[in-house]
Amino acid sequence: MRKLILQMQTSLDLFVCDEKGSTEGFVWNWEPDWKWDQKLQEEFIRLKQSMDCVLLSRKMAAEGFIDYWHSIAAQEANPAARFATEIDRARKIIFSKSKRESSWPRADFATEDLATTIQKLKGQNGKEMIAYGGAGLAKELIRTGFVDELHLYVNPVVFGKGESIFQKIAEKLPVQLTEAKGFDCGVVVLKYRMRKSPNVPRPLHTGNAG
Amino acid sequence: MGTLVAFEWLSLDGVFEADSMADWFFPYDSPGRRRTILETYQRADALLMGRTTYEMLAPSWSSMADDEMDGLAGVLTHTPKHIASDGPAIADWGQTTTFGGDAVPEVQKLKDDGGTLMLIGSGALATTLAQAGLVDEYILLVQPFVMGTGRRFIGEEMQTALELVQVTQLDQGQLWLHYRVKRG
Repeated sequence: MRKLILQMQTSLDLFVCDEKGSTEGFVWNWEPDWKWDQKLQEEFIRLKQSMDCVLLSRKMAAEGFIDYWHSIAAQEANPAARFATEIDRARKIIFSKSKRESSWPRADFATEDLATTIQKLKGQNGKEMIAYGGAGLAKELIRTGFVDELHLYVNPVVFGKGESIFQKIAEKLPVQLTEAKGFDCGVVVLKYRMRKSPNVPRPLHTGNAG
Repeated sequence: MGTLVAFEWLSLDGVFEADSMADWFFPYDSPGRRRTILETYQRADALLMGRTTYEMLAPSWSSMADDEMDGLAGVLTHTPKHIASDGPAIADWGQTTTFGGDAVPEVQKLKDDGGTLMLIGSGALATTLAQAGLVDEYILLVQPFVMGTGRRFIGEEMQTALELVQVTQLDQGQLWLHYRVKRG
């Protein structure tokens, strides 16, 4: 079984964006100019090299996630091209309430429910899988117990309020810290192993749930 | 000019309420955490608490011998304590002074005396002081547990940019995060 890693940038109070949807205050907001220090960049590139499948929400796809990293991947002189290439090459699975055709390369809309799709993907051979959100998908992945590792890139900023990936999850969740590292640019990378086991649907379940 | 440090114990998602500590705090007790807590308190020249935190801590900690809880009891007892409360001190717990009214000028005066003033717990007081720009540093002891719901230490009014000072990983997966508030 390969792992599903959920990787997100957050504020110190673990919001993925502030109440206006802005991430101003993050050291780096995914602009072409990569403002992290060298060591954090290397860490990030290693993470991208460990995966070959990206899960994302329809909203993120619609907002241009796939096209954006495709364009960065083409900028050979840009250090960010080193990880953008990995995202570009990876298979993308897009989750949407309405089923549709994808016009992006190497990207497909999930045709089955989240649980079935992820279980099948996990059972396939390959490198690790990664999810970036949006926040709704991230929350759903945590809630359903499919996240094996949570990688938080905690920025040196307090938003006070905003969009959380933890608020109002149905139950309490013990997690296991596997790594904590502070970087010169002010970002702290926290890696947690999630200890919840998935709410796997019964194999013979043929009801109309979902 | 002294430094005001807020030292807070939190779940990963920032919950700090005492009622649910059996979930998010007590299970992660360890020699490393106890030592870290002791060493953090030892940085303080004086402690600062709101009334609720004080009334929660005073009865039990004031009745302990100095060597209890790996020596933490003694450190808490012998470090001067300033309590934001209109009432008198409720326990004989070392050097304790109370002040009522607006906390901002009172804490400003305490800071002017110099040294490290350490705020513990006290969410409401922390919010007031953070809003007034009096909090200089945050030391957060983060437990590997997600509560999902519950009262969180960092509130809406505490929005600020920070500088990372130090990150330490403790033996049961607890984190010790030290930040300085970025000015200007």
